[in-house]
Amino acid sequence: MSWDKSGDPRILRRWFGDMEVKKHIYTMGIAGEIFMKNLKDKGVITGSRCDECEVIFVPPRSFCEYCFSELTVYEELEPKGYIETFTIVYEDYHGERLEKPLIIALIALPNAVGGIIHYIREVEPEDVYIDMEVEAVLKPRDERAGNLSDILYFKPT
Amino acid sequence: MVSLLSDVAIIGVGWYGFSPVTLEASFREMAFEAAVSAYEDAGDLDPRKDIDAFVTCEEDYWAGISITDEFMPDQLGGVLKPVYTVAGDGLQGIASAYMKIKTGLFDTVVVEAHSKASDILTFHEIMNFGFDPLYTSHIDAHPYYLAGLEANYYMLTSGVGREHLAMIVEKNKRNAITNPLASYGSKLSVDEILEAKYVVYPLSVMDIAPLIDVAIVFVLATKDKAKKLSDNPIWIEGVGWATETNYIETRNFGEALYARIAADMAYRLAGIEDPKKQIDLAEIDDKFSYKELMHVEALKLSNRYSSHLDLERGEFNRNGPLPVNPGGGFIGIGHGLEAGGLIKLLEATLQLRGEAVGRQVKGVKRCVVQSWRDIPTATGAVVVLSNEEV
Repeated sequence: MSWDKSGDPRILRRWFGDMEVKKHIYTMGIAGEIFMKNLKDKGVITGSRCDECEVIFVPPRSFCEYCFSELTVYEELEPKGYIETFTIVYEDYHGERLEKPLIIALIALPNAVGGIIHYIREVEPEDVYIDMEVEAVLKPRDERAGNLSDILYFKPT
Repeated sequence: MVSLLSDVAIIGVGWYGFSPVTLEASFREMAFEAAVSAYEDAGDLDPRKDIDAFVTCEEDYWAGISITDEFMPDQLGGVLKPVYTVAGDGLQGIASAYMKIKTGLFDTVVVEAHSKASDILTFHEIMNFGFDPLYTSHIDAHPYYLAGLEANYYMLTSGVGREHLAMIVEKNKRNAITNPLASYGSKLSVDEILEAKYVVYPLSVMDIAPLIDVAIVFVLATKDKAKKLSDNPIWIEGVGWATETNYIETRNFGEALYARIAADMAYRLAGIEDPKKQIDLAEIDDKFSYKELMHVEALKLSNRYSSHLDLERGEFNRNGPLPVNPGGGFIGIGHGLEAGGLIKLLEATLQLRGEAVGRQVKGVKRCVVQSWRDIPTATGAVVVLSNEEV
């Protein structure tokens, strides 16, 4: 190697710093605003339709990932579907065991491509399965803020 | 596809670290050490005179500083020269350097990537910054939940069991024991591996590659330069890369499309029609055990839904017909963040040179190397290497 280094851990020094994360505004965009407004006001999931590819995307977006068309048609869907896949999270960010494991699933909606990633509750981890039918449990309408936490979780139907 | 200009060769490699902790050197000093080694290996190059351009590979958010590319020229000898950073895995940087040489404007290009993972105190929280703020920020959980979602789906649709994941872990950790660069070698039985507790179902701590600190530098050159400078050039026959949709909700969890498309591109450039027959050794991304199986299928080294059956038959063992990660993979060597692809490229380069101490596979002529850009991405790159001149 090109230079000498110390191997003495008593004199090797580091300093502990914070990398500040400033506040940020996330613009929802056209499709995002429609999705969040419909969730807040009507308690529905919104998808955007591509007539060219004959698909409805959830979450909605303003452009098609398959054919690059502009998407302007939105479809309101019932907040229920089935578990496309799920996982059970047993540890926190630092490897400590969680008191209560979290069930997280990708919930697919009938006739749509994609779905919603959310918590599954009111069921024991060992009883969850792929294809299980689930529905959203929403906050009361006057408590909704227009974000995905307006859905508290999904539960088996 | 016809190559427009010079073939591209690897003429120098250097590294520093390969250790869970490197208290004795900063990331800049680690890169400097790796660069000095690589330039010596390439025939005593002076980067101030002999290198035309530099590519580094790094994600800002791991570095604790922003605009990290500005921090890179000095320790490579690249000040006042063309330098840029690819925000992605090291193999994406190799593809970028390969293209630079193919333009005919550059004769020698350096690629660097490093990991100073031991400096990162909140690794998994930072990883969550990579998720969509609108549609996934309501999930406050360990980001490997995404690996859990994918693994569960892949395993159900392909017939892969937990025991197959454990067989990957057993193989890679065993291969790592004799690799002097590996930090996590171990002789464990499949049963012992299966006893580990779940982190994110269906994955336990065993299925997740642990982190290391490492810096790696490669020197790439034209054929003319390679002939002049190097006794043992390794030829880059093909490169490829691809990215899937950013919406994790619409990805196909059953197949690593990013890897398949990247491999198709690299195989096309390399003129490979039957990867199973024409590839002697594969370095495959195993940041999670199940990913090795998915990626092997994406690279057409196994048929779809049958990589676990090939695994059962021992085909991927170091002494098998198609060794996969014979040096231990990320599970045995360690996960080096954006240097990951370069760890795999280094393993393949040393195999092709016959310098893979402790894990040399006999008669290796052509390798495929593949990397994935980790959670939460669906980006991958592939490189095909040979020790035989075209």
